[in-house]
Formats: sequence, structure tokens, C-alpha cells
Amino acid sequence: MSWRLAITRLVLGVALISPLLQVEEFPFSNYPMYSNAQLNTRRLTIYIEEEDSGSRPITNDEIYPMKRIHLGYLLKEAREGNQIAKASVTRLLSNFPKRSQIGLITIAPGAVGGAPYRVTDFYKLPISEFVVSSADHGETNP
Amino acid sequence: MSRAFRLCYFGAILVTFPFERILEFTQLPVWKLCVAPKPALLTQALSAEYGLSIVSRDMSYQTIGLVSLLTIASLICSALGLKRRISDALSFISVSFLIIYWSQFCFTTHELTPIPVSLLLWNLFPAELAPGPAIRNQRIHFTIAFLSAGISKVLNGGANWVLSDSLRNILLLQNFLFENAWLHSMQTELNAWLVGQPKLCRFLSLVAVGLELSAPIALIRNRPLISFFIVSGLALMQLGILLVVYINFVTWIPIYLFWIPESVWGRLDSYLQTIIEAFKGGRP
Repeated sequence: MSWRLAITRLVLGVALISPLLQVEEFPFSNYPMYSNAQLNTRRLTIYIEEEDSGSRPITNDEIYPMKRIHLGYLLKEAREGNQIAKASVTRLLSNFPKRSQIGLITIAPGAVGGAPYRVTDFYKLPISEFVVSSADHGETNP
Repeated sequence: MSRAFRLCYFGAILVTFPFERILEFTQLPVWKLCVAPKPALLTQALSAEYGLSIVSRDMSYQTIGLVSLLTIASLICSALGLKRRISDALSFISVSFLIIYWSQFCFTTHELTPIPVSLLLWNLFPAELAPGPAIRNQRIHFTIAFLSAGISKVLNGGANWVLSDSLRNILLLQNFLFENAWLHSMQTELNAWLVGQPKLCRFLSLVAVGLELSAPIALIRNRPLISFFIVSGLALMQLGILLVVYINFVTWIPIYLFWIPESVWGRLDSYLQTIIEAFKGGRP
């Protein structure tokens, strides 16, 4: 067997094993996108409270090039205690109005001919769960 | 390997690679640069554990711009077959560099994941040496990518991914998560119609997982019809994802090219040869 064939088989072998071991190391991947069952239509997001127009979810434009989907993952990681994610959320919040909140939003189908979705509920969560507190140690500003 | 194939493969990578989006990250304000929460990359793990950073997050616009230019130049040289071995290797290295840089922020998706492995296989087993095995390796990689996605759904979502309203909920949530990312209002109308058909959504989720898990069947030799149906099904699935999930997998086009029969490339080669000769003949 030539060395080329041996390395090629090794690369393909690792690519095949990656999903079984749920490993994601460049350049291999287990392609986990959308692999979790979505049993509800709730999502973590940031809510902005404005004096004149009431409260609203943060828009994709406000966090471009991030989208709400990335923000949701970031908030989930922060809530689970990931310090790097907490530092990122802290930086993000520092650039929005002080009355911005974090919570679980519930989405329902929109009206016929109108917007494709509507927000039916916003369950507010303590911001302290998502940001770096003075008591936190370790890497805070990557 | 066919000259036309080389032109199309590297040309497709060149056209679909998001150079501008990657360059944007060098100019974003710090507060927007969310770092990927998990050290999923070897480079990040090394950086976190030992302070070794192969590709820094803090690269300047000029540096990433220079690497982008190098990538474009090497992809063009590869497409044209100029200094093949060097340009092919440079294409792999520079594309990998840009993807590693980009992956360190939490904005990325898996739209580019198969490209570095495909380029690595191209370099390890040049098609010019043995076209048959080289194409087969790429096809194996193609099926592994889809099989992996199917296995992840089975392991992470389990039966709920198919038996619950998971796909319907995903479709509905996409309207909020990717608001205004759709290309045409028709997409949201189609999405809304599907959301109103829970049984169809469950059927589609079963078809999607089934197709992904059965991707390796496309490798069976001497069964071109089966291969055609599976690969076409996967392409249609990704087209469907673009339409109602608003995620664009156009970057996967290069790895689809390996499923086009060699006879087609042979015909394209003769057309290309005619054009080249006509061009040469037209010269004074």
C-alpha cells in the first residue's frame, strides 16, 4: 500500500469515526447542526425596552454579523457557566440600553398575510446568570 | 483528471467561498466579536492549554486580506492547472487558514466544513495519478458528511427528531432566528404552509434522516440509478433547506461535482479544447 493510499484511508477513517465519537476538530466534523430535537418554540434572546415604542426582541441588524440563532447559543452557553460566553454577553450588553433584558421568548405562527411569526410570551431571567460577575475568576476577556 | 473538471471544481470553490464575510470580522468592534464558546478547534485548545495560537483571532484586515488574495490566486492557478502541485497545496493551506480564523467566532455554520477535507484528499491522492480512486475517495467523503449529520440527529435528537413536532418547531423558529435573511417572501409563505402541516413535517423529517443515513448506499458500484436518486435527493433536501430553513448550502457545490459521470467531463473537455484551439488560432 502506498503512503498516499494509507494517509487517505486514515483521513477517511477519522472522518467516519468523528460522528460516532461526537468529535468536532478541524477539519473533521460530526455535523451537529439542528441535530437536537426542538420540542418547543422557546428561545433565549435579549429584549430591548424602549421608552417610546415599548419592548421588543433585539434585531438581527443590531447584532450583525451575528444572528439571533448565534445569540441564542451564546446565551445558553453563558447560562451554563461558560466564562468565555459570559464575557461575550457582558460586552454585548454594555452596548445596548441599560434596560435590556434576557429571557425566554415563545414564538407562534403569524397571521395569514402578515409577519411569519409572532411573539406570545417573554419569560424574564436574571441577567446575573449570563454575565461575568465580580466574583468570577479565570478567563474573562478573551 | 479532466481539465474541465479541475476548472469547475476549483472555480466553484472560488465563487462560493465567503471571502468578504470573513474579511468583515477583522473590522468589527470588539464588543461584537463573540468568541466561540467551546474550544472546538485544535488551535483553540492549544491556545487555551499551552498559549500556542496557530491562527490568532486578532488578525488585521491587511493580513486576512493578503491571505484571501493568496487563496484567490492559488485557486485560480489550480483551476487553470498552473503549477498544479504547488497551487493545489496552497489552496488547501490558505482555505484552511481562513476557515480556522473564521471558526473562532461564534457566527459560523457548517456551510464550509467539507471543503478542507475535500481539498486535503485532492492533495493526498491527486486525480492525475489515478482518477478512479481519487473520485471514489471524494465520493466516500461526500457520503460520510451526510451520514455524520444523520448519526448526530440519531444520537442527539433520537426518535423525537422524527416522531415529535421537532421539524415544525425548527421551521417556525427559523422565522424569528433568521428574520429578513430570506431571499424572497415566497420562502416565508412556503415555510408558513409547512408549519401548518405537522404530519407532512414529520414525514419530511423521516425522509431527511433516512436520506442522510442511506447516503453510503450511493457508493454501491454498478448501480448508477441508486446513486442518482440518493445524491439528487440530498441535493433537493439542501435546496429545501435553502427555501424554508433559510440556510444556504451553495458552498457544497464543489463536492457534488464528483458525482457527475466522467463521460460528461470528457465531452466538456473536448469543447474546452476546441475553445482553446480557436483562441490560439485567432492569434496573429
